[in-house]
Parts: sequence; structure tokens; C-alpha cells
Amino acid sequence: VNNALRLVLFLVLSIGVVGISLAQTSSCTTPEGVRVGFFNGVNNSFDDAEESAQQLLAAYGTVAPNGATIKYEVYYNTSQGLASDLLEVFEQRLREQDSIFATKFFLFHEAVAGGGKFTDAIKAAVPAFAVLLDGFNESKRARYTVALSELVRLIGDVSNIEENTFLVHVRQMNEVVRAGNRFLLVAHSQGNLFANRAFEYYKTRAPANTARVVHVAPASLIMNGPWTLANYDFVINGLRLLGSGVPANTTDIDIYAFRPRGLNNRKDPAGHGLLEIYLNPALETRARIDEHINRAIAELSTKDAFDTATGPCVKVTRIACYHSVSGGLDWQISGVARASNGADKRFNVVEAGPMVSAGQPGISQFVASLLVTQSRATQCTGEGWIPVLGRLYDSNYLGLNVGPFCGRDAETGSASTTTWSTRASTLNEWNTPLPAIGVGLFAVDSMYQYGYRRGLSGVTVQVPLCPGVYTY
Amino acid sequence: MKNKNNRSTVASTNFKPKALLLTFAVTALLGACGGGKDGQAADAQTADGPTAKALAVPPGWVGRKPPTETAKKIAQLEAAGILPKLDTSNSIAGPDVDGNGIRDDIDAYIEQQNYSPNFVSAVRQTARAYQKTIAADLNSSSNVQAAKVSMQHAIKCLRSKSMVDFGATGPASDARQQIKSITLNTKLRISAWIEFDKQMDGQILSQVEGESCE
Repeated sequence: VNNALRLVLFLVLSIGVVGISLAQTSSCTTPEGVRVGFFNGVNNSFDDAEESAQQLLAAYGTVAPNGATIKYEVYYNTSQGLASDLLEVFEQRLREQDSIFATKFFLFHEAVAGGGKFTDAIKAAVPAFAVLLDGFNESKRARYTVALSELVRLIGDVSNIEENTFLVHVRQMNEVVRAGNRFLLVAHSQGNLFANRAFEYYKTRAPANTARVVHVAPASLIMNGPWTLANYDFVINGLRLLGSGVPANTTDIDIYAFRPRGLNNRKDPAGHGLLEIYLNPALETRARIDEHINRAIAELSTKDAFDTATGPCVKVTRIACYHSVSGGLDWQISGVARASNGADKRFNVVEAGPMVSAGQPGISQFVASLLVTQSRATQCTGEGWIPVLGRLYDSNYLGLNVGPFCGRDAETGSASTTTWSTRASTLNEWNTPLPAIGVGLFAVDSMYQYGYRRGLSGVTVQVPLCPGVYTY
Repeated sequence: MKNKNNRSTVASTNFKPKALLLTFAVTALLGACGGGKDGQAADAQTADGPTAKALAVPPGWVGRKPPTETAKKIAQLEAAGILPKLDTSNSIAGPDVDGNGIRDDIDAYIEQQNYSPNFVSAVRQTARAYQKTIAADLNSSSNVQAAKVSMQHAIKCLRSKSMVDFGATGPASDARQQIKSITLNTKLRISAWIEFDKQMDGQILSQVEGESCE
């Protein structure tokens, strides 16, 4: 019976160890998830913005080449008053026509979209109707330009972003940060103005290198990333003529007559539409945007983009572990973390440990590997202080979320072990002055550091097997 | 679909089946007459009966009088099913006698299009989604949210069906644009749509997961 029990125990432990190894490998090699935030263009209604986002999803997928998951969401903004204004213009144009058109408001959205099946049919039968459309198109283009110009003038600074309609967007960005995701802002037309503001806000909540901005048909001079602007984009060209600062054109496209239909099967006389022009696979704008977005996704999903940020020095003062009722080990690690400004903060890590028992090698490293991933001895002075690669956040607010956090081996340069992280509140970055607070709570993901060793900079925290409490 | 009259601006539905039938008859008549009588038709202002009704100047109209030729051509297009015959009553919701969440004239238009069974179900879902948006009670956040998500699913479903039938999403865009155009076919309905869209300002449209087709 004893032998049988030993065998069962051995098998259980073996499975546990394999599981631990897999978990470690997975957490160190799986790239970070990317959230694509799409900021829609001028006079896009929300259904059009949704279709654009779904086109982005179709174009760039839900899984990056390196395995990163990609999710898409629209940060929607209307063009205040523009749709109503265009409706009035359209009605006026109708009234200038024959009365038979008086009730033909079903042509309105086709006119806004630059044409359609019903419009084509009427134009073929009643050529004079084309005059109405030409006039409406001119009015529309001029109003787009004026609306964008006004928006440039009116849009507030970062301090206003939390006001009113932006609250939901702000909350969503905070959620992106809390989830530990990387943020790719893809902006079209007026969306660039909102995206720039969102990016400025995001940088106050997370490291700037966890986000990228890709600008398409930008209505703003401020560029926070690469941009694409077609030479026959008459809306942006009009904005330039009005004296608003916009960047240089980047890409030549065919004139309207020779331009192929876009992803939505339509052509845009104004040369400004996202699906008609910029994401049109037959135009060079698309290849340029592909390069921008694919590169941004690749960069963002690579852990190093985040993990090379300077982190705090950490000193472990107490380690405790207990046998849990489930048969595993519960660990508590207490210590002090010192920010670059010299402020200290006590921390307390709690986590259910892996299934280990006496005789299992590597247990002494598993705590050490939580703390150390790279030799930066010059950064941390004083006995017992060790550097942590990456960022820690003050998690006194929300701070219980957990995320894998890969480090880099100091000797080999390769990505190595899972260390620790908080996907916590991130409301205060570590290098901001720390409030005078008590114990912060950091949850630790994947303390399955079985056999980890390299690059520990001479630090070994000896952790005798449980149960016990050890003070340093 | 059950709350189409929740908006304060909604006028009472005045759907009249007999009037609709009459309109069909008129347009059919015009279509039938379109072949050999061009240029000889009575002036709209002096015509009698249904013709006069079809070509009548709308109340408050200040533009030019309708030349018969243009009116006839439009009527022919409608009779041929190239242009839709739409309800223009002073009601946001409009008539939905069968209660399927799609206005009856939109139902009739969809029926004429020879869509595949695969595609037509998604087109109908799209029509219901647009109807939901303009009929939504804007004072109810859950109502607005439901209409928003319905639209997202409808767009996703239509795109997926389009890929199956056509290997491209262009037809989905075409169909959605057409349904949108004919659903929002009066100033009142377009205004209701604009009001709904304003509710979306500053919102997040998260990627919808799972099966989107109803």
C-alpha cells in the first residue's frame, strides 16, 4: 500500500511538474494581447464605424503572426450636427427639383455615401438628377472640411478628456491598461483628433511604449505615429487650404474616374473614405496602412516593448508558506520596494503555490525568480536589494489582477522566466511619488518557477520547505 | 421591435392597406402606359383620378411643378421594382402588420430581390436592426444598448453570409446600404436615426463574439 501511495504521489507530482513547466513556458513565450481601438472618421454613423472595425478585423485578424490575440473596438464619435445639417441641405436640393422627388428621402443616405443602386437608376432615367447630386456632393465636401476645421479648433486638451462623452472612452482605456493589453489606436479623418487626445491620456496611465498610433487621412498636424494621406483626398486638401495644419500627402491614388471600387463596393468622389479609398486593396494606400498596422501589432505584442522599462529595487523581508487545505502551498512574500525617487513601499505577495513537496528540486529558486530577471547591480545599492525588470504599479486601488510578466536573461539575452506583475490599478506609476501608505497587495501569477536559475545576479533567497515563516 | 412607438415624436401609424393597393395600381397603370404615350400624357395639374394623386404637388411644395415625363419615368422605375415603393406615413415605425419587426414595405422590397435563402435571412436581420434603432426608447439605456448590439450582430452576420455567397463583403455593404436607405426614407425617420446615433457618441462598440446570425 505504501508503495502504491508513493507511486500515486510520484505520478501526481510528475504531472504537476510537467504542468508547471508548460505553464512557465507558455507564460514566457505567449505574446501580449493587443487591443485595436478604431477612431472613426467624419460623419460616420455608428453602423458605418462598426463595419469599418469589422473590415479591420478581417484585414488584420484576431491572432497576430506571433500568436498574440487581437481584439477590436470602436471608440465612436459623431460629427456633431453635421448629419442634421446635411439632411437640411439635401431637402433643400430636393425642393429645387421636380416635386416628384419630394418624398424621395430614401436617396439621402445614398447621397451621403456618394451614390448607390437607387441613385444610379434615377440618374439613368432622369439625367437632370445628377445635377442635384453634384451640388449636394460639393456641399457635403465643403461641410466636411469646415466641420473638421471647427473640430481642430474646438477640441479640448488632455485635461478635458474625462469630461462628458469621453468618460466611457477613458474607462475603456483604463480597462485596457488593467487587462495588461497593448493599445493600438487606428484613426481615420476626424478620429485622429480624438485618437491623439486619447493617446495623451493613455500615456498618463501606462508606459508610452505599450501603445502605438496609426494615422489614416489625418485631420490633425500632430502625428504620434506613421500616417497615410492620399493626394486626391479633397477633404483634407480643403482643410489644408483653410490654413489648418495637416501633414504632407504620402500616397498617390487614381483620379475618381479610374478609381476601383472599395471594400464596401463604393467610390468616394471626395477621396476620403476609409473603405472606399484608404483600405481599398487596389490602391497603394492599403499597402502602406498594412505595413503600419502589422508593424505596430508585431512591436506591441512583443513583451520586450513593455518589460525593458526600468523597475524598482526590491528587498524581501519575510517569506511564509503554508500547506493549504487543497494540498498545495500558499506563499506570502513581504518586502519593500524602492522607487527611483527613493520612496519605499511595503508589499505583500500572496499566491497559492504549486504542488511541491520535500525532495523536489528548485524550490529555493522559485521565490528568487520572482524578483530578479536581470543584473543591474548598479541600480540597487545596499545589501539585499535587487532590481526588478519591468514596472510595478501602485496597486492600492484595485490591484489584484494578475498577469504573466516575462523577463530577459542577463547572460543569454533571451526571454526567460515569468516573474511577477500586477495588472493592477496602474493609477499611479511606480516612478511617481508614492503615497504614504501601508501594505500594498500584489498578486503573483505563475509562481511555477521550477528549476529557474540563470541571470540572478548572485541573489539566492533560500526558502526552506513549508511550513514556516522566515524573516530576513 | 415591440417598442416602436416609444419616442415622444412618433406620430400615430396611419397605414391604410387600401391606399397602398391603390398606389400599386396607379404605378402599375403608369408603368403599363409608359410605352407609347410619352409626351402625350395629360399634364399632372389637369389629370383626373389616380394619376392626379400620384403626380400631385405635395403640401407646402415651393419647387417646380412635376413634369409628367419625369413623374412617369419614376413611376415606371417603381413599377418595375427598380425603385422601392415605400411607406411615407408620418410615423417613425410605419406599418408592420405581420409583426416581424420589419416594416411591410421593406419586407416587400426584400422579397423582390431574389436573394439566396442564406443571404436573405441576414438581410432581414439587418432590416430589423435598423428598425430597432429608430424605434428605440432613447430614455432606456438597455433599449439603446440592445439596438446597438443588434446592429453589430446584423452587420457581422451579413458580412459572413456575403462571404459564403459571393466570396466578398461588397454585396453585404450594398445590401446594408439599401436597407438603411429605404428604412430611413422620410425626414422623420432619418431624424430619429440621427438622434439614435447621437446616443452612440462617446460610446465603445466592442467586438461582438460568438454566432451573430439569428
